[in-house]
Order: sequence, then structure tokens, then C-alpha cells
Amino acid sequence: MSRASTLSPPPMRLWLAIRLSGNNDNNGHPTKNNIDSTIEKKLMVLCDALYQFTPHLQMYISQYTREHGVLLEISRSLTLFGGITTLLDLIHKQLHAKNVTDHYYHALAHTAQAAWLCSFLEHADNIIQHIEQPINHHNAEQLRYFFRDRLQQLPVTCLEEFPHEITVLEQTGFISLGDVIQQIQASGLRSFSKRFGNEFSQYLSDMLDISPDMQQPGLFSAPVPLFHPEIRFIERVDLEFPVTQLDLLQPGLRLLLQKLSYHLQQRQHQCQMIEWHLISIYQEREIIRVHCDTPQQQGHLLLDLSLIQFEQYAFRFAVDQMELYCPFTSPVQAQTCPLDFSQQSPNPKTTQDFTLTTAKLKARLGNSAIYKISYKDDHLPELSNDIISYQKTAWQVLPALQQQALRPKWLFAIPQTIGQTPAGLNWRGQLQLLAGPERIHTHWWDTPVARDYFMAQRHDGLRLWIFKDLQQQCWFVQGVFC
Amino acid sequence: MNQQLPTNLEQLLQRGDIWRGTKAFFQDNNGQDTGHPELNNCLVHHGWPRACLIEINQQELGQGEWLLLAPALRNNTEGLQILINPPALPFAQGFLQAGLNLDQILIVNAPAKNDFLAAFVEIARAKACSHLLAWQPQQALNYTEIRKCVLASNEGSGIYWLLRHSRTTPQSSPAHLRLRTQIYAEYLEVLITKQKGGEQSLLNKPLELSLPREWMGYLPHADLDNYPDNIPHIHPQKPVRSSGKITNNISRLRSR
Repeated sequence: MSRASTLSPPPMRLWLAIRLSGNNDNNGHPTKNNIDSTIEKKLMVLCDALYQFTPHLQMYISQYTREHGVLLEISRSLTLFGGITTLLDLIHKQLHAKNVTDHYYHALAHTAQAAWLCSFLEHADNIIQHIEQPINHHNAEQLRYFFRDRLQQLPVTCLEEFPHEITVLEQTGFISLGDVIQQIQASGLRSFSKRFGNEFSQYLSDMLDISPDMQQPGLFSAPVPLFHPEIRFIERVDLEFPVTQLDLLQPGLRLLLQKLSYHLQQRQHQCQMIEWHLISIYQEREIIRVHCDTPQQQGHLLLDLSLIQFEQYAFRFAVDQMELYCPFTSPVQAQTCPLDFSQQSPNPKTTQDFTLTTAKLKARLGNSAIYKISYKDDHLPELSNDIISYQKTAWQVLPALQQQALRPKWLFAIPQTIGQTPAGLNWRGQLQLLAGPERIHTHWWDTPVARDYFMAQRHDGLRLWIFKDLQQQCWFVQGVFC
Repeated sequence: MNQQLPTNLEQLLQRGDIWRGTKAFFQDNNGQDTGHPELNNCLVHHGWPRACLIEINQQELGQGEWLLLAPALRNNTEGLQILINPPALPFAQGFLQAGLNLDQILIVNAPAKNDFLAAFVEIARAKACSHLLAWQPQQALNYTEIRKCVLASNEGSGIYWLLRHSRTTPQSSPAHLRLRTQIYAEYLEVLITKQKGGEQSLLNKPLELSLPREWMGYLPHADLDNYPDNIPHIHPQKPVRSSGKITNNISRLRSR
């Protein structure tokens, strides 16, 4: 058989499973989510270290036992690295050099599931001498039989993802995977499909690399997933001399942001957060984080937001080096825009323009400093005035009753007390009642409120919206007509 | 500024902001109708000048600011109308009754002076902002700081109002147009105290703008019983009569 080109698809796949030993590094009583995120981080580091050997990497975390590891499809890398023995040696050295993990189990098989299960076998690493020859001669059938034989030694309890199925299989008399494989060879996968459902039979067919009906190697095998390593942006500038003034830092800020923009454009990515690391000559370090509402690809807004933060920053030391770090990016295509068919939707150009302005204002004044008002259907005036985010749409349908009522333009969030003198009501001057009363009696279901509202006129002509609280028998100003 | 430098006197006089004694040069294309014809007649641009700072001096809140400005805001359907440091909460019901679009109105709180200036400059330069109403912060602005607002306004294309206390009226201000408003029982008084390129004779002449009809025609409650039915009411519009008795009851007034 002639040797296949490294570019052509391999005649068979060869998976290497690297299973990390135990999860003893979880101190205390961490939650399930915490454990998962810790494991994911560890596996991500492992993937980064193994990415140089193959781009086909898959992380695996068992839902039930929390066993975890990485699966590598290495058939395309064998020629490049000079055979299976050399490749495994290099991987072993790499894992130790990077100090990724102290101890791990590894196993080879023709499918990812089979490789993972084989990693539980004892002396899994002594098989290389048996498979090197068939691999070099691309004898796929021989390899498949070899791996199937090894799988037969495993007990059915190794199918840990299917606890219910394991119980039933054991009750039925299936002890090892060999019994399962014999059953499949005798009567196909249909019996398993009928008894345990498609998910389990699909798992078996994937593990053994047979099609569900024909018991033949899958004609249309699923594509092998590609691993995309996280590409973090870290750039540094060394200043000519230590500085404590923002003006002198600005050229460096601009240069680094230009590089970030170029980096993002090249990869069609965008970011929402950057970190400025200011470093002194004694290696002291200050971190300034800049966040923005919307993902950015260009550096203009990030520069403006950074300058706002730097203006408020008191330099603790003279800055000798400056680093720009962008830990998280997202693809540009991942943006979603809501469909808005309403006629009142704002002009997108002006909205985009104002997005930059609001981002700067929020960086300076805080998120709650910019808002809108909206009408809310409530009889109590202060509750009918709803403060909403500036990005939301205001409710503007006023009931007919409210349309005809006298309503001021200004509203005091907290009504102000009116003094009662023998001469009458007094709020920065004598008041005279003009129009009213309009009784509002509401919220009887929680805190009852009963008020009589009037339009009153002060001695200088100012018209006020006042009410008498019928429960407290006190007068308050709540609004100003103007 | 991308304007070409004038080469002769005639070109120089084309500028709208040059004082020309009693004669004013009118640029009709740079103003937005105020909604008050008598006020339009007194303004150089026959309306609120665009890309200029307009200063309004008031004794306190409620001195007719919304009566004065609401028509211009109502007639503008594009662009954002931004309020910086409003002295109280705008009441949604009152705004909707006045025909204002709540989706166009944004409120920004910037109580510190530096923040106020930064916010004013940013917003005035934003193309999305068509109208800006800014109430000066607790710490009063000085001439230089107002000048910054003027320069930012010149870079924009909207209408920019700065509302300050009336005690600052005697102080010098670089604003393009200065007004003072005072509300009375029967009318809103508007006084133009400064106008670049405007006629001097129009300055400090009080203009009386009428108040909304729904505010008028009420007698004080205390006096209702003192007026016999046959005495004509002193206010411009008669209060509603109900079965021969004078009343200010709102439920009756709604039917008008």
C-alpha cells in the first residue's frame, strides 16, 4: 500500500486520550460550577500546550464522575512528527516541560470514545509495539480489530455516562463490553436501540465506528472538531524616562491601541474590556481596567474611555513601562441586532454616534446618571413616572382620564411639606387654591393612599400642584406648572 | 473653523454676529421657530439660533421654561433632546400632555462642575443631539467655563440652552443670546437682555406671552362664595358654571 499524502484525508482516524489523574486539587467544598470552571481552565491550558501537535483537540469532562481529559486526533500528525512513538514522546516531554500535569493516563484507539474508555485499562501504554506496524502500513481494518479486542476487556460499568443502561445491562447478564460487542455482532444495534433508545445505540456505534444498521465502518463520519486557542493580546511599550503626567503617556496609549485595533481587525474580532498595566522601575504594577457597553474593533472609544479613567487616576509611582492586555475577544459575526419595525425607532446613524457619547458619559458619571422617563399605569403620580434605561423604549400611551387632567411638567420625587398658617397655606409664599379637588384614592391593597389634588397659585403667580393627604391631614407640593 | 477669512468689509458684514448699531442683519436660515410669534419677531434669526449658546436666567424653577421651550421641542421630530441637571423630575404625564416625545428626551445628572462641563461639551458635539437644556450646577460657572460651552455649541448644529439663576443677569456672559423669564398670574414675561447682531432697541423690552387656556379662568376657592352669579369674572376666561353656581371642580372643567 502506498503512503498517503499528509494533505489527503487519512484512511482511518487515530485518537489519543489523555486523562488527568483524579481531581484532588479542589479544596474545601466547591460548588459544581466552580469545579467545572476550574477543570475547564486546566484543560484549556492543556489544549494550548498540545495545540502544536494537532489542531484537532477536544476537551472532555464526565458529567457523573468529573473525570476529565483531552482527546487528540493524531492521524494527520504522524508523518510530520515521524511516527507514533516519536509523537508520544514529544507529547510527554511537552506536558512535563509545561508542568501541565504531574500524572496522567493515555490510550490510543480508532475513535474518541474508545480511546477515552481504553485509558482506564491497565498497561494502556504498552500497546505501541502492537499498533506501530499497522499504522505505518495504514492497515485500518487490522487496527480496528485490535482496538475492539482491547475494548472487550472493559466492564460495562465503564459506560459511566449511561448509569441507567449499566444497571439494566448488568441485570440482563452483560458483564463486559465484550458481551455487548458480541451481541451487536450477532443481532446488530437494533436490539439496543429498541431497549435503550437512540442515544445509547448512537454512542455504541460511534465508539465502535460502525454504522447503526450495516455494522460497517461509518461511511459518512462526522468531521473532527478543530480547537481554536484563545489569542490574548499583550503589548508593551518602554517609556524613555519614568513619567507621572498623562500628556506624556498619551502617545504610548495611542500606539498600543492602534496595535490592538490592527490585531482585532486581522482576526475579525472585537473586545469590550482592556487592561492597562502601569509598571514602575521597581516592577510595581497598577492595573486600570476599561470597560465599554458595546464591543469595539476600533480604538477611538477605548482611548477616550481610558483617558477619562487616567484623568481621575492619581499616579502612585512614575511609570516606566506600559502594557496593554486584552484577555477576551469575540468574533464580529457574533453580534445580534434586534429587529425593530416600529416607526419610532431612532435613526441608526444618530444612535451609533450617540453610543460613543453615552459610553464616555457613563465612564465619567456612572451608569445611573443617564436615563429616560416613561409613563407607567398607576394612579399615584410618583409611581406613574417610571425611570428607565436610556436604551429602552418609553411607554407613551396616556389614558383618556389622564389626558384631560391638569398635570404639571415638574414633579418632586419627594413631596415637599406646605406650612399651614392662620393666613392659609404657605410654601415660599402664600398659596391660593384654584382648581380642584381631584381625588386619588388608591393602593388600598397594600398601603392605602387618599389625596385631594389642587392647582394652587402662589402670590407671585407661580402655579403649583399640591395635595392634601387625607390620612395625615397635611398639605404637600408635588409639582410645578411651568 | 472652516469658514474662509473675509477679504473685504462687505464680506465681513455678512457675518451675523457683528454688531451694526441699530440695524440688524438677519440670517433667516439659521433659526428654529420658537412657537411664539412675538418672540420670533424680536430675534435676529426669527427663532432660536442654531449652533449658539442661549442663556436663560430665572429666579427659580417653574418660571415658564417649558412654556417657552416646549413648542420648539414639540416641532422637532428628529434628534435627541437632552436635559442636564434638571432641577426636578420631568413628569411623564405633563410631558405627554404637552405633546413631547419621551423617547427623544434623555436626562443626564452631572452635579459636579467639571462633570457638567465635560457632559455639556460631549453632548453639544454629538450630532444626535438636536436640543440641549442644561441647568448650571450648584457651583456657578464663570466666564471662562461658559465660554467653553459657547465653543462646544458652535461645533454642534442643535439648539443649546443654558439655564442660570437670575442673579447672574448683571454678570457678563459670552452667550449669543440671553433672556430672562418671569411668570405672572396672567402671562409669562420674557426679557431679551443680550443678542448678538440684534437691534439694541429691542433689548430689555418685556414681552408678554400668554399662558395656556387650561390654567386660566379660575377664581381662588376662598372667593367663590363672594361672587354673585351676575358679576362678570375678572379673568380672561370665565370659570365653568354648574347649575348656576361658580365652581372650580376639575371634573367639570374636563368637559371643556
